[in-house]
Amino acid sequence: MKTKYFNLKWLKASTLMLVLLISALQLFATEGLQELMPYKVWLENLEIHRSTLSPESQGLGWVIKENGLEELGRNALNEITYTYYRNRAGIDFVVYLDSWKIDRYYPISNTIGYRVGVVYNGPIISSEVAEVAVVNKAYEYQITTTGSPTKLHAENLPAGLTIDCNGRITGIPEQEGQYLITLYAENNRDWTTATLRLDVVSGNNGGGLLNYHTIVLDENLVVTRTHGDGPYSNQLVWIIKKDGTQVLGRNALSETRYQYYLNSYGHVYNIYLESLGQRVSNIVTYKPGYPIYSLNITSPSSHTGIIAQEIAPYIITTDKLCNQFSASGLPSGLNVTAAGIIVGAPTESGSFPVTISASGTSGVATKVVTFNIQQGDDNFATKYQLSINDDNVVTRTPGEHPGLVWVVRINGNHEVVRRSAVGEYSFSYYSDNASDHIHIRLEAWIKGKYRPVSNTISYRSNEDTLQQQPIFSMAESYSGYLNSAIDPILVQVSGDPHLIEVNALPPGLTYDSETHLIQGTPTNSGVFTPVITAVNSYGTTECNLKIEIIPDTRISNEDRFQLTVLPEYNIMRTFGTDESLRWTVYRNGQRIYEYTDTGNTMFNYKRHSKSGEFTVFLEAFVDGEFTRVSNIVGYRTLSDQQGPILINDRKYVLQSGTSVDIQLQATSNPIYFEADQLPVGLILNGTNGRITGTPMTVRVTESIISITEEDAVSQTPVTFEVRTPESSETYSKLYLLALDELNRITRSPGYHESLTWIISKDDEPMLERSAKNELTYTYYMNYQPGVYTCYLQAYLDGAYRQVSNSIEYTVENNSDFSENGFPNLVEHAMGTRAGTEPHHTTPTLINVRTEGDSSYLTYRYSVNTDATDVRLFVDSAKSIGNWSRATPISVTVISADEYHEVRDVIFCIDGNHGFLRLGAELVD
Amino acid sequence: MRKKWIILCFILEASILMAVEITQEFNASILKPIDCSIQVPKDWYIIGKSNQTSSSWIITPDDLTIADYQTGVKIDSLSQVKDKTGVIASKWVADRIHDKSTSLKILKSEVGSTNDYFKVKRLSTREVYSSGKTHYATYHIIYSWFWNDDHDIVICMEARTPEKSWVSASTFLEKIGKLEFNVSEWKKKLTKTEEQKR
Repeated sequence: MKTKYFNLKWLKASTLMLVLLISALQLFATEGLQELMPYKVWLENLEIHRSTLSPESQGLGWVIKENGLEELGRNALNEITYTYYRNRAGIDFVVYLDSWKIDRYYPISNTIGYRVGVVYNGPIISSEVAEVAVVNKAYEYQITTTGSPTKLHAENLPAGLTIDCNGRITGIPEQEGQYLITLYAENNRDWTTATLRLDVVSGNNGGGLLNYHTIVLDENLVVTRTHGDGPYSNQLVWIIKKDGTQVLGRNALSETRYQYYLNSYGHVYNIYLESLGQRVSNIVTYKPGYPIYSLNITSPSSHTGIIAQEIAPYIITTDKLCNQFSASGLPSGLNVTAAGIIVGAPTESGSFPVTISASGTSGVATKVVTFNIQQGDDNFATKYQLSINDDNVVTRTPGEHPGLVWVVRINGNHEVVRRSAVGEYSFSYYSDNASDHIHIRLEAWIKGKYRPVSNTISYRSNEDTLQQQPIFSMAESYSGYLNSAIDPILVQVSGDPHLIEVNALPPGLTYDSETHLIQGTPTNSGVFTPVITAVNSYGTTECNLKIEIIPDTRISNEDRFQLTVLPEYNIMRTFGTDESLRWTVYRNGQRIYEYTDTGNTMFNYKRHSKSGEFTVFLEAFVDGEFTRVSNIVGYRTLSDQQGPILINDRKYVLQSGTSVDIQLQATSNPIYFEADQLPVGLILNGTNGRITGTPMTVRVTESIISITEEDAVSQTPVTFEVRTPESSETYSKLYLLALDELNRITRSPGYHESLTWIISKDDEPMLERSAKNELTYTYYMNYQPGVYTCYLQAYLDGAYRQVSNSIEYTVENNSDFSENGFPNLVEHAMGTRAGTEPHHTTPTLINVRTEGDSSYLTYRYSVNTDATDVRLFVDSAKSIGNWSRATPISVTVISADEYHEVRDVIFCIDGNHGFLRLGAELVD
Repeated sequence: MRKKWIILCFILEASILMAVEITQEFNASILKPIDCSIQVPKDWYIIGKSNQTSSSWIITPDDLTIADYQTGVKIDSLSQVKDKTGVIASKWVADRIHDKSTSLKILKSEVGSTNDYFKVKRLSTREVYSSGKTHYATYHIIYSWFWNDDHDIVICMEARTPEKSWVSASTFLEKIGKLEFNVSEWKKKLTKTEEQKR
């Protein structure tokens, strides 16, 4: 019977191992293979849904990665939908489900990806973005993506590694170094890139078992390890030591990347891998800067652009307020603005590691961002040169480009071959039909579509390639928008024609005979049929094109809805929907109201008891932020004055000596702005409504701003107060802090939206807590010995500033705040001290029993199980001073939850006692 | 009436005692690759695997298909220690003890021997461990190393339970930790190895 039991266990173990093996095989599955996964996840707007199983897989969890790093693991057992709480623009999010199998977590669903605030149907790269490889040792990496990729590619691979058409990178890296590899993926809707940081290391960490793994630390204190499990059995553990003491052991079988979650300033950390207690890797050491308030750059690690074209602005985003930004290593033509936005049109192509920096009151942060700049349209046609030999083998010049393909067409535009040209420098095509005209050229994926990047080679299978008339190989039709520059059209023709003529182009377009490009900005809409004629010594060929110029009906955000003011201050909007649509109301230039649109096209603010000038418009969440999506309308409740309504604030506080740039805005269509007076040093541009300059004199100026539209003029008073710049001392006197004997902090009254308590212990920041609605606060961890400081902080005049005095207090090992005989640790452990753990259970005498000369006292009390344990004792004396201590004869746990334990403790004391006192002491 | 109450109480007490005995029932299991017998609580799982140079087992009441075990014992055999680590078994164990002792608070330390054949060293520690994801907990861990330099082998045992379960689980873990090696089998192995060397 015992044997059978044992065998059953082994059977179960074998089954589990099989599951493990299957799961391991799935690890490297690309999206197409993920059909095998038992669960399916999908996205509706930003809501993640999952399928269900009966019974559900136990240990099921959501995994969410941001730009390649796992940021959340969350129980999914009782959740079939989930919306990530940190969705924001500019991040590639990847989501899948995982589940525990014997000794690690494995993916158990397909993987989905999304971006917030943009309409994007392209792939999102879901494979790791940091890896470690060992020089002269085989390495393998599979690019995986969401969105059914049709093309996977990588550039800047280290010597020794190659990529195949399935996105599998293999080989033996030849040289140590850190490589930033550009991963490229496209599907039939869009394309994307990501940067894989590959550290190729020597692997020599001291010999023997130490060489089994190498771990690498990055600037964000994330460690990345080499693949594989370990030299003994399946046990591999991250060991994290803080100042030499182990603070965490963590299963490393689940992950090749990890970031310790409790880094704190001023301490030295060591991380390494261990198996059976034996170190099996190198050790990485770091001393973090301010981790609690550390400043991090949160914008993406890569950005793309096209040469000679304005890039999509790269906005440097941080998790704390910053006011200074810089970038080094930018491609020429790009620059960073004072607001931290990288803009411009690059003038060189390639992959550029750019170090961006942001700084503010919270410190300085840097991050390396890869800018991948592709070739511009104008240079594409000459990027590669093709030549053909007597055997009809076509050879290309060297170079690589994402999506580079050989394209073969016969007899004009009948495409017969499209194959990867990456790493392939010669190519030949044979047709059975001797009369076929064969055209071969290179194309590459550029700016959302395939474009020719070489000359075209044309020939007949059985003829001398030079003895033929010109042959065109161009698309039959093109399109463009009215009044917008078209994508240049390259005239592709073989046979070395000595004359090319282009006739009947749409007005506004021209043909450049040197670059062979048709370009320009069309001025008329319609369908045009230009004719291109090419002549060489063997004949003349004509090509009829169709170019359709369509009216530009693309609407800007601000034109999505039209608002109209009706009687009784009713505002009507045009039809349309947007989930995030909201009405926004300003009164006298101050934002006073936001109201979620309910689908009703009529809106009335109604609260007009305070008169003023009201402006109203609609906002919606676009590209990661709320943006105005309608015209601005306004009305006055204070007078019948006609004319535009000033949208700006009615009062500006300026600092002398600091430059100013204020854009005046008004409802309807203002054509001129005027001010009767402005602070000395400022001027108003009447045409565009910009007030600029540097105020020099400290004074208050009441200006009348006149705004003129076609048939009315309005006048609005605006106050400009120029002040001397405040010193830091001025700010710190805004609030006064005081401390009482229980270490409660009390502040003077006042209100600032961003008012915050800042608590530090031994100069290490410990807590930021809103003080907006609190006049007193007691730090809940005061039981730990140390020197504490506290002050208030608020966001004022563009920066976070200290707005109170600093107070300091010391908690000794045995501080007794309440002077009740219980030192701080005892009070915390028992949960009896206000401001610490609010359990509020003091020892209570619940039973007294007398047997002979002895009395049995039963006390019930609660302890905080996170704190050092305490033990009760009872001192008895017949006269005060001659105390005799009794320890418990029994301790029984009555109930417990995650943080507390309720105990009954019984003391036996001499029934002939005179005085009793109850005390407590820490248990070592 | 009073008599009935006494009888009822007696029956209740007897039932409780029986229940306690049932939960503490152990079965002896043989871990053949390392020729030893181990006491395993009834209803606990043994999951293991072996190859020519190493074997490992997990003994736990928890279902490993749901999550990592909270309470349990992991046993790993490390043979050919000298070849793999460059040091003899006793030195390897000494190094491990030194590593743990210098980086962790040691709650208890024991030295002893088993059947005078395997030497054994135990350390009890309190550590924060995470099986992955965002789960972190403080565990009471007992490390045991059984070694024999002649056999060039170390049996590593790691028994753990969450700190809060220590009172209830310690009896089980300590009993499981007492490996009973079959000395005659081990002696035969040694003889065979020496013969092969000759």
